[in-house]
Amino acid sequence: MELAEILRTLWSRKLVIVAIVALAGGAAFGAGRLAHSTPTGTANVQILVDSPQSALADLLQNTVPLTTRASLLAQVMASQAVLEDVAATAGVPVGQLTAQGPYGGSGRALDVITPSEARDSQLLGEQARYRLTFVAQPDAPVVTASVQGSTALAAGRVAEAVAPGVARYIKALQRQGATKPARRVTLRQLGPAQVGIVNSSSRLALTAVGGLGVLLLGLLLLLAVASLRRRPAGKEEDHEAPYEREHERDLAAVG
Amino acid sequence: MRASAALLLVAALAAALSGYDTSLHPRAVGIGAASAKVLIDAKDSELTVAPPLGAYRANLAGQLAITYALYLQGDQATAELGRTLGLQGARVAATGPFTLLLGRANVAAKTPSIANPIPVDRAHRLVLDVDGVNPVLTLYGQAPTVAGAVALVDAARGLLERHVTARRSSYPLGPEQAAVLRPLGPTVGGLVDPGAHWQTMAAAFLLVLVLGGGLLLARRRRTLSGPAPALSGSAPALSGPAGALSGSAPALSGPAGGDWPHTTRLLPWALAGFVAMLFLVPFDALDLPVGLPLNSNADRPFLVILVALWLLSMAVLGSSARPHLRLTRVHLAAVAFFAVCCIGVALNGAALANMDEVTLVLKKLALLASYLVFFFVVASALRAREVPRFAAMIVVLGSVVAVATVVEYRLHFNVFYELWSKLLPVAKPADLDAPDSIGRLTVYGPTSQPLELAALLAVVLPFAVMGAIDSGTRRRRLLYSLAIGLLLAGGVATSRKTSLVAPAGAVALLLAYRPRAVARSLLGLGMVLVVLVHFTSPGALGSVLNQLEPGHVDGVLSTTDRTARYDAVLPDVMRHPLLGRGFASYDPHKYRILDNEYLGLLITTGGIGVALYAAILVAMMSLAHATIRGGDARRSSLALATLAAVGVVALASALFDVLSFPHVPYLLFFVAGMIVALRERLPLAARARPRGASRRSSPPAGLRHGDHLSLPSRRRIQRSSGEPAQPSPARLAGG
Repeated sequence: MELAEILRTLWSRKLVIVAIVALAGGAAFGAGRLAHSTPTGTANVQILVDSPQSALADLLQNTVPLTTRASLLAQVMASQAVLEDVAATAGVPVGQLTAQGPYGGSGRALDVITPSEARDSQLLGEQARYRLTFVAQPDAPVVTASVQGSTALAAGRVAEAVAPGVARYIKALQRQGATKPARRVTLRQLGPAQVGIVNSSSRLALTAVGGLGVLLLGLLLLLAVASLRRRPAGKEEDHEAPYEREHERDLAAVG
Repeated sequence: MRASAALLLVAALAAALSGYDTSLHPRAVGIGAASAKVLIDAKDSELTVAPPLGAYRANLAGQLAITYALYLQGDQATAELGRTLGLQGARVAATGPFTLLLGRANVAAKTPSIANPIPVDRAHRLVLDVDGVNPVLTLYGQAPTVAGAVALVDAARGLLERHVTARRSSYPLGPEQAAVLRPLGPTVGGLVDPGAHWQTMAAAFLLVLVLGGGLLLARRRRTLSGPAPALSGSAPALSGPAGALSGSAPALSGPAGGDWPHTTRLLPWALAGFVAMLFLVPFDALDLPVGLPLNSNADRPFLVILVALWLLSMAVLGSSARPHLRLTRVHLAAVAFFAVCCIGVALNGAALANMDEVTLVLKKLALLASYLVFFFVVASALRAREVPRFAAMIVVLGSVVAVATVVEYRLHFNVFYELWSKLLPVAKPADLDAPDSIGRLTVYGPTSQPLELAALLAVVLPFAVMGAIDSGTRRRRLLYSLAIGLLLAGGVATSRKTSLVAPAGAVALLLAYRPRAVARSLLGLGMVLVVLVHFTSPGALGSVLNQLEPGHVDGVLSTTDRTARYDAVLPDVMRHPLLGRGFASYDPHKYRILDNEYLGLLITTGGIGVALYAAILVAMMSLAHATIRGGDARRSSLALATLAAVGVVALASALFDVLSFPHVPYLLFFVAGMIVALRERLPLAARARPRGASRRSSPPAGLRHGDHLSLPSRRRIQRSSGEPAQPSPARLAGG
């Protein structure tokens, strides 16, 4: 089908074109609605794993064991037990939270390709509204928690709940084990959560991509149907193998 | 009408039968998943006590976590879990820990295995994971239902707790020493593929509908039009002694503007420049110092120039010199594929944004659009007369790349990256000219992957082979034979299995159409080629052949890793079986390197996307096939080369993610443009041949004797291949 013919076909079916464009517009709107839950907020918070008499102020205290403890805590933070406490503190349903990590320090090895069974769990967390990632610093007793949420405000709220949530879980354990106050591990949040905006143009891009896809598919379908309708009637020659027939006539003329 | 109704009924029946609920026995279509974590701790929790108590004990507990992970994989534990879950004498499948990469076939020596009396139920699978440092054991369960997966993980955790309690009570320890298992929250789970049943049914419905509809349509067309002599290879009227391109010069004066390279038209020159860039510039690693949306690689501005020239040509030039846009089945398949990719991305947009993958996907969609735009430009701008010249140019460029590849293999000097880095900022690959995990040298050439380089050279090979077969002079045959040797040597220098597998696929396709001519030509060249390849790339041929030996081909890591992926990506495939998770969203650096375009597309574009990708390749090959059988010797040879080149890409798509590396896809779509151009209708001037004008004596206009691929008449091909000669059309027409 040649360009002029394509344009003729499209022009002769103006109503269908309008319907396709309307459908594409609807698809774009739908894609925009689907992308409405796109997370656009992010927040980071740092947590220092410390002892009651802070290691930062004590020249004699070795920080290496605290660093080891931070690495372990980063793993425990990604567990369901801690997430429940974080969710309770932030006031969001625990089902909306998913956690990854740790991807730093000695936990770096966890960032590996996963078999089918472990990939299942990652897939289940793909749709969660809040994604929490924990990174333990390799040389310092600090865990960085990153939260991605629907808005910057919501992400910030959950990030602010991480340190109290983890502390709540630890305190419950300390009460259970009757740990003496002087020996208790202490978590200190290093300043308020830093919030920012991500994926700001994603919604628009996804809307455009959705509309474009439906528009192209609709036009293709229209052209395919038009082409199929014409062929049996013999109104249009086979445009993909024309030269043989022309050649045949040509050769006959030579003869 | 009746046939259509019957087809709909059959399709619906197929859909119903493919569904879960209507089958006689429930099949494991659903994937239930669950996971839980356990902390190996002491009575006085490691988490609660400040140092210095913990560090050493935590380290020991980390080692204990590995022991527990291995215990739960034992025969006794897995059989007990099978009993707990009621698996009727079967045990669960347990593996891990994957973080420590235990159990890799080429690391651990294989020992003879004893036949196990208890069968393994592969539908119930348990993976135990530890990182080797921290005392946290993670249990992952997979079963046909969510309840089954949760029960599996709970049972494993309970079994481990009972085991540890029993050991602890048999040898009393102090509170500081005794290990305590501390569950880190409840077991959580869910259904990985909630809509899989419906989507599988829809896929079955569509498949039957498309196949049945195609059959009905073909039958209808045959009924209406009768036999199609024009497309039949043995149609006497088409078996001219010379091709349509080889008429007398005055009669065949080309359309306005002349044919490349004897033309002042800018567009074919720009196309030639673009093709030269594909072979000579590592443009994928070359970031231009200008900011462009999504990507600043060198191909984008070049493409913008091409499109601008194309639009200008459409607007300014006369009808005969203007690019000739026609929609073929290749265009339709390609645009449909792009549209489906867009829809898939839009449908899964929220999850993609959640995983921070939207930017990547948009970049890849833009790259896909670039391939399509390039194809549209090539297919409309290229003329049939120009195809042999471009084919010759591709062979020359491929030979240059092959020589540079051999130089890189022998001297560890990458000509392309080194030279271009002196002009523009080039991101050199970190492993350039370094050995890979199994000791093969990483040779890149102008590409960004040795596999891509091997495929690029393999795509060129059919053009060289057909050039050698159809050469009119000894000198030309020698040059083409040298090109074949260089292309093979260059491919082998990449030390990848693909360097032999892909050319073998191309040769098989050529053999299928011209068995005698191709076999005779290659057998004659065989010994010379082996010696040439061996001397230019010493050791490489042996290395590749060694990888392909029966004992090695399925044992080497590059093969076992590929096969291991089929199971590992099942959840990703089943989560979105129809439209996938979003085109190119499965980042190999983030998830897993698949080395298989079909598998990657199955995950990212679903079954429909894979079908449309295959449809693009099939459409290209079917168009080329029609030209091969068309009866014009010149076009037939070129079409055969293009068909084999597309076949190489189809084969290479099973060996690596072709669409991620732009050199090969751009070349594929250029070859597709050649295929479309070869189907071009003759210009009126060419058709108005004067009576009695000789078709043999004079070369076509703009195509002098010995100009590029100098193809012989069909009769000469028939003589050389031993195929029976057919009478000339003039004679058949009574001339």
